[in-house]
Amino acid sequence: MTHHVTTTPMKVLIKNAQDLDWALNFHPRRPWPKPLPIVVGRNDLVVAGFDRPRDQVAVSILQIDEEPMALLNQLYDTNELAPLERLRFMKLSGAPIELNLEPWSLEFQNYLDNRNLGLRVLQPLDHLIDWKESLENTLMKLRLSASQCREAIDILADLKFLGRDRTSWQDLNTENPESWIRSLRQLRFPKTANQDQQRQQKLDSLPWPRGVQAKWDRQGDQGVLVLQSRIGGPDELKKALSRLQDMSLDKEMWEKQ
Amino acid sequence: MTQFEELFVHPKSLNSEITKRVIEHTGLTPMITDRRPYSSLEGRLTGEEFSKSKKRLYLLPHEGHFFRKCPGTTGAACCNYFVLNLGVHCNMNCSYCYLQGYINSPVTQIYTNIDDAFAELTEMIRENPTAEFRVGTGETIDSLSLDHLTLYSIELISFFAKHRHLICEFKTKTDQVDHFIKTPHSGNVIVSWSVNPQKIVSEEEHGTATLDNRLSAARRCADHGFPVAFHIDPMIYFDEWRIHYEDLVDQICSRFKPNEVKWISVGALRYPPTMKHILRQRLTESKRVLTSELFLGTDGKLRYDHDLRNEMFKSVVKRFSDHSSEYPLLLCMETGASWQTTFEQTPRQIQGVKELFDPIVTTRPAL
Repeated sequence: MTHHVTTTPMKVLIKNAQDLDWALNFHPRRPWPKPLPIVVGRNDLVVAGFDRPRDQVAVSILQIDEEPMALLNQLYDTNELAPLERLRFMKLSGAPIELNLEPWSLEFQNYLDNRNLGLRVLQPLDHLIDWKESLENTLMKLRLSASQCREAIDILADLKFLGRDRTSWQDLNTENPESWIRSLRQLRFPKTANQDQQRQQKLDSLPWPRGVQAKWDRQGDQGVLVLQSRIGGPDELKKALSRLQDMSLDKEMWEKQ
Repeated sequence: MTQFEELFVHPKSLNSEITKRVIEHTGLTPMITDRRPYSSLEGRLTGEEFSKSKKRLYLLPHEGHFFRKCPGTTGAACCNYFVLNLGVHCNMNCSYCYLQGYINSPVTQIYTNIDDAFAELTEMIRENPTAEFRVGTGETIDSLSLDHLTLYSIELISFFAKHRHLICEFKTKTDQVDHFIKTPHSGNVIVSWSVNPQKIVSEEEHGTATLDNRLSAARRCADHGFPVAFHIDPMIYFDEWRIHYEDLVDQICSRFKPNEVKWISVGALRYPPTMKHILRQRLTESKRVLTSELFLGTDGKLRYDHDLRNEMFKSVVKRFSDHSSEYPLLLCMETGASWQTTFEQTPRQIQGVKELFDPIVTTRPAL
């Protein structure tokens, strides 16, 4: 059996936080455990404990005589980092990264990381830099789910390519995420939205049997008629089915504008 | 068409006829390498790298299967198409090209060992002596746009002349047919054109032959006894789509009688959502392909609304039937519901089409 014994010299010291070099701060999302000292590598470069206050004159540090980048790689497992957090980490080593993070606030990056959105989903952000402020504010205010966030970013990038102005979506009702996303879809797919709306109006105008509600629903590339019924008993069911059959055969009624 | 700016040759391909022809045609000095050039870029190419990959040519022997079953698309009626890949990539530049979401190689590749492909095909024929395979060479590369360099069309025509029960399809957007047109054939090599109204050709199909030149090339092939086929695919929606597509149908019908056309397939714009990123990066003047109203279909691809697609298909089908009910039409990568709406029949109920959809059992893997 082989035992690996580290021979790297390390010592615990008290130092002024302002004398440390914080350049490797990639803003990890998880706070460094409170009982542990700040960890620094060679040249007093901090590698852990980035969230600690920097104005304290006496902080406890663990100084390890090793290359800071090597220490970082030992301390942080990239597989455990969230997508944008990982990009920030990779940027430290000069690796090419797939997304321009510069324009986006750390708060917004963490908002996206909390939804664990993959880089592919976030790539449209590169086209939305002009709308940075409104986009960050709106998305964070709405507290969108991961799938809503994904859809919103994609639609907003499409709107950008459609030549739409920021004001086209900025003033949409932001009372709740669902209605905001619905309005966004209407902006992005105006023809289909209009057609779907007309179909709903048509459905609303039809004499549905008692207890039956008809809704025009968009399911991907298809619009479908969704019927919902509250039927009291077998007789009522029979009547409703018979009425629905009559309706289905009434070509003139369906074709009438 | 894109001109090659860099040429790489695998050591095993150095003495091939293709290599000699490519050097002669392009005037490029080959760099000899047994490793894929720019391999550090492999994976998902950026838009810029994808564009550059069209300018780099790598001649190499192919080591995997050449011959595969077309994967079709989930939920769509399958027309039993097989593909023979003799290269990967295209030197033309269609805005909607599916290769943008498929290719991860930073170079255009042409395989120099067509004899191995013929050996594989011969083995397939031996294993399935009665199967009437339809084999296309235009799935991952245009069948003819680089054919002046490979001259594979001539070898394929000669091979298929010996296997009359099979069908080979050259699918192209070029008008480059004159170099093979006089090759003796058995009438089982179909030369097909992907066609669109000239407005779409001009705005979306960059570097391709004009519609008129494609139809003229098709006419020359038909005059030399080659069956021809057309793919009105992808149909692209725009304000005056109906007039333009009706005019396209009129142009085809004015030049080809129904019995001269083997099949006419019709399909509408579709692409996987993951392709949007590269479309955004490579966008040219027309934003139509990116900004059309497309929705996720059950096969995971973005498509026009089902009703709009069917309206487009029906308009084309009707226009053909106004000329003659004999034109052999089929839908490409569409659901049974679309077939029903467009033709009021499933593919296996339509004379002249049903044979294409009869299942063929093989052990060949899908693409």
